[in-house]
Amino acid sequence: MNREDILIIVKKYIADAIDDVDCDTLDPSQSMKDIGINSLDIVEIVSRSMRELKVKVPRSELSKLGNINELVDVLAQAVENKNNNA
Amino acid sequence: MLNDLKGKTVLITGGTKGIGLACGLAFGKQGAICTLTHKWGSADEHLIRKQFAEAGAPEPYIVEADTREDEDTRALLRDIRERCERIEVFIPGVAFAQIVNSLGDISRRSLLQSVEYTSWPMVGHLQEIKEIFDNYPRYVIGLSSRGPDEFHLNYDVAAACKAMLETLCRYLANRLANDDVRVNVVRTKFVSTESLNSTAGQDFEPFVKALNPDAYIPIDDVADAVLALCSGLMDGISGQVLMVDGGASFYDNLMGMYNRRNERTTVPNG
Repeated sequence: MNREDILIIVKKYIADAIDDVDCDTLDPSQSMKDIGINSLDIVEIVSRSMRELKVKVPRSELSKLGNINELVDVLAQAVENKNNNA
Repeated sequence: MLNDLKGKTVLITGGTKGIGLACGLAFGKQGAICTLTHKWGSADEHLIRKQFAEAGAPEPYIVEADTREDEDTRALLRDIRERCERIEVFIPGVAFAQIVNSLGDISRRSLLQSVEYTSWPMVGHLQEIKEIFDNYPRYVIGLSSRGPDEFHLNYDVAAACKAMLETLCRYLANRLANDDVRVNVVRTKFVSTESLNSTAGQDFEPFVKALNPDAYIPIDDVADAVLALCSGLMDGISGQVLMVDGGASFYDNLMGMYNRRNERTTVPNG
């Protein structure tokens, strides 16, 4: 599971959450707000991504997230930690 | 007649923090077996178990379950069903709504999401409980606030959800009146919780307390009121929205502030 795989998972749940988002053209450096992702969406997207990746991210990390890249970084770190502890 | 809650099952969704947790501890002290749910990453399970142990309460079941996910709810209820035949008390305690800083923050989607977290579980979970247990809890207690009736900062959507919760309470009480079920809502004004602080901002609580030190009531007072509604002594009460605020709703207005003007010392940023 590399960073690109995680980005695909995150984009999938963004598409589930937001009706009018084209994930193929989605710029991961764009701010969540500009994409139309609200604070409830972020919880939903992170929650579902974590379930699929079988990792946990501290809730406090969410408030620091500005764009999709940052979310993917946090999830990638959690996956790496999980693999290191396995 | 007082109910013996020892060994009875209490389900509190969103029960690992704030008023939900205080309610869990209040029921736990009576010997009830509490199941507390939380969404990911929002519970310090070790601390909660310690609090229950120190209170002399049975160890609670702490379950990660997203109140919006039907699959989670069914799995949670099936798990409880293996332990007991009836849920005595159900407290739909999750309150999760869009914080509104400007009109543009309100969208149809965010409103519906907020309803699904905050208002709908009172009905949706009851339907699932009936399906899985073939009975209803004897007591259902929703948690609300003054938001539907008076301005609360950034609270537009949350207030709408609470108003819906209160309305559903009244209709549920009517529909379940012959099923040995009492449905009520407890309203609070200012209670020191993470939820209120995150909605109104971290500066709000010290600001209010400087104006009126009594405006905040102890969280245990709210939990005790919830416990009292499930004690058996108040079984004649159903379909009600009860204010638990130590009387603050009446006197905590501009006239009350004027009356206390000489008591004020320092108002932060005021």
